[in-house]
Amino acid sequence: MRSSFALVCAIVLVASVAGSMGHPASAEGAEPIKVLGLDVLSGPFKDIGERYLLGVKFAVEEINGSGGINGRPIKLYLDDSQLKPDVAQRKAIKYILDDGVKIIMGFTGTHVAKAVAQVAAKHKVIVVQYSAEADELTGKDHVPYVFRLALTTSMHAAATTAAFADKPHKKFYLLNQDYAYGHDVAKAYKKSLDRLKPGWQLAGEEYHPLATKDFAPYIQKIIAAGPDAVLTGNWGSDLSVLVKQAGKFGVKVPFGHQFLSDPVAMREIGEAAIGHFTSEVYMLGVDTPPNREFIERWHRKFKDTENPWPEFTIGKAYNTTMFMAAALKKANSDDADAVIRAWEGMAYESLIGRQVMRACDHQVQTPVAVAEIVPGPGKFYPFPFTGRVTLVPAENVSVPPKETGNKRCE
Amino acid sequence: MIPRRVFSPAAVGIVLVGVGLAPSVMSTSQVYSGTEVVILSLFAVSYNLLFGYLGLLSFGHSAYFGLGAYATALLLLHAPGVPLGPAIAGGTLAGAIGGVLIGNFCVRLSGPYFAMLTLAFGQLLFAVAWKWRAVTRGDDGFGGFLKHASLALPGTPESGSQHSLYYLVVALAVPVIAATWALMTKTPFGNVVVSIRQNEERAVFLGYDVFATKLITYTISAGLAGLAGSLSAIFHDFVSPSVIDLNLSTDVVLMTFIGGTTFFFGPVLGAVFFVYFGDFISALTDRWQVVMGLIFVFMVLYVPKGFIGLGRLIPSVRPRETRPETAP
Repeated sequence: MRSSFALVCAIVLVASVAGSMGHPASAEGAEPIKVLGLDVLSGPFKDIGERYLLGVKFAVEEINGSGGINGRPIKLYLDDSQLKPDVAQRKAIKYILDDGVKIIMGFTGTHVAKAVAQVAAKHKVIVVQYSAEADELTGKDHVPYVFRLALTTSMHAAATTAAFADKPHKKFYLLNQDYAYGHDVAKAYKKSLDRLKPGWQLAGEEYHPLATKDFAPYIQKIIAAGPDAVLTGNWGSDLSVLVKQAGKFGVKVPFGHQFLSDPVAMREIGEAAIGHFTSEVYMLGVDTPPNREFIERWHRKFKDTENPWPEFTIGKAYNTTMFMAAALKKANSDDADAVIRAWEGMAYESLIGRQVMRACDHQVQTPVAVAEIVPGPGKFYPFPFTGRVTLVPAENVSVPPKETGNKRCE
Repeated sequence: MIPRRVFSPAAVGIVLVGVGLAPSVMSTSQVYSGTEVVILSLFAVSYNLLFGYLGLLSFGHSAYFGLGAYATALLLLHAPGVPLGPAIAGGTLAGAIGGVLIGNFCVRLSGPYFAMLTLAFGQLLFAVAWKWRAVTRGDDGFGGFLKHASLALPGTPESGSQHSLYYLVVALAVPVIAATWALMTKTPFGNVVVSIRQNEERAVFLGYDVFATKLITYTISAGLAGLAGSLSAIFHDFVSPSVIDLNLSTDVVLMTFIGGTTFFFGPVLGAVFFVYFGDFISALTDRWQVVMGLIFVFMVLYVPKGFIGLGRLIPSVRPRETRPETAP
């Protein structure tokens, strides 16, 4: 017993020491600015995380190719969050303490974003979010080390609602997933309808379980309610199955979506989505000079890969990284407090136009792209995809500081 | 039936000195992983009370881990100024109370029926955490509750540092694991538990109250899982349904199996392996779950006694087993 017990202890100790070996950074020449890209790279959502990090990687290559951050290159580390908050925290800690990472970029999953924010606050590193959209991340749960360059749920809903602002639609039906996010989206849609479509009517409001296989009962209800349009925040299989089945049931009214500018989803959904609307902080069709050049640079390099065009995930991550680099240049440091001082209130000419990092809640204020799905083949893909993009001005989607729930905005 | 030498003072000394001094030779990030390993070890040990000692395969053990985590987090959030002690005790108690209530139904069954019922209760509690958004914040979870609590421990440099968290976790988990070890291997109660697994009918005829013994073991197991969950909430300063989901319930099965169920400390090895090898392999390939799964299948098929069973290949370090594999 004694020997076996001692053996176990010995193994535990050796494993603990050997388990996560890393060396503190040593400065050579211009010391690199160390950035960790942490997103889901395994399991069913790995495709999303991979595409986001492709965008980050491309941006970092361009930044380093043009002299880095005031002469300092960015050293990029990439790792898998496994979509688990505890794993993401552990990996973040390892890169912060062992590799000297000063900036962490991510994350798919609000729970992962929240967990990493706690670590960032403790170790004083900057967190840059290109993905998770829950309002409270820059609202009541905001940690001042966190900057978000994605939309919030409220901004995203406002942008999709804006697609119907100048149209005659009056009766709206809300169909969303039955969990925290789905309920937040429905609430956000109602609020933006109040603002943008005074006198609107609620034709019905329904929540379905995550990963629903059969939307027939929900679609029957929609048909019975006879709305002018349906608003949803569905993503993943709940998005593609809903749209395809609605098409089969002959639902003719347009849908307002949040995640339909994704070629992976559109390849599968196809014609059923024609006439639907969607919105995003970046879309391929955004017609600005910097975006046209960006798309061309990307296409030249990646035209023979799985991602011949820098679609919304790649574009969002690229744009986020570029704005961050501009803030780092202005701060001329990777010290968290210096970056916060430099970035707060900073304006940036992005792929989609002028963006401003709001000082009180670190939420980017940005124009948002809205587009209708048109039949394929189009400029980018052979299947139906987003057509001409309209930009909703930042002030039309912005949430007033006082309504964010962020104490710093009161 | 269970030949055993007294827990050697030398072995105890080695462990205590080793665990106590480890942080001074480890980098802070290693201290961080070390803390996580200790928490998961406690959880895996609690699981093995059911599986290794009672022979009950549970698929819902994260329910108690989650109860402990949420109870502690909610206490710290809604009762500002509550000291850590009562918050941790509250989490442990929440796990134990959940164990009495749910165990009362489950331990009446065995085999697949037990497994299915624990799975059902586990999913029920998960659904509560997922849906009761007013309290649990649903899928998004909540964090930052630790700022209300005082974490300054005597002898540690700064409040809330990785080191003070490590010592807090070790100071609670190690004695608790040791006490559980003593209970299971040194006391008549432990003998009764093992005898029930080996031959339940005979235990009944010998006059033991099988139901009560099972329920008590289940409750202790749930309480320990609650303590592990509570420590995990404090350690991460964050809770979300991932502390109560099916993933965690299967992770603990994996840890326990890989480490070895026939030896009390086997699950500790499993937890070490799970954390370090899991991180190592997921850095190499995005198919790490396949690798983990293959290892699990291999262990179940060829080394059913886990890593501890591998040790048997070397005669000189062959660990004596806590219990014989089959009933005589």
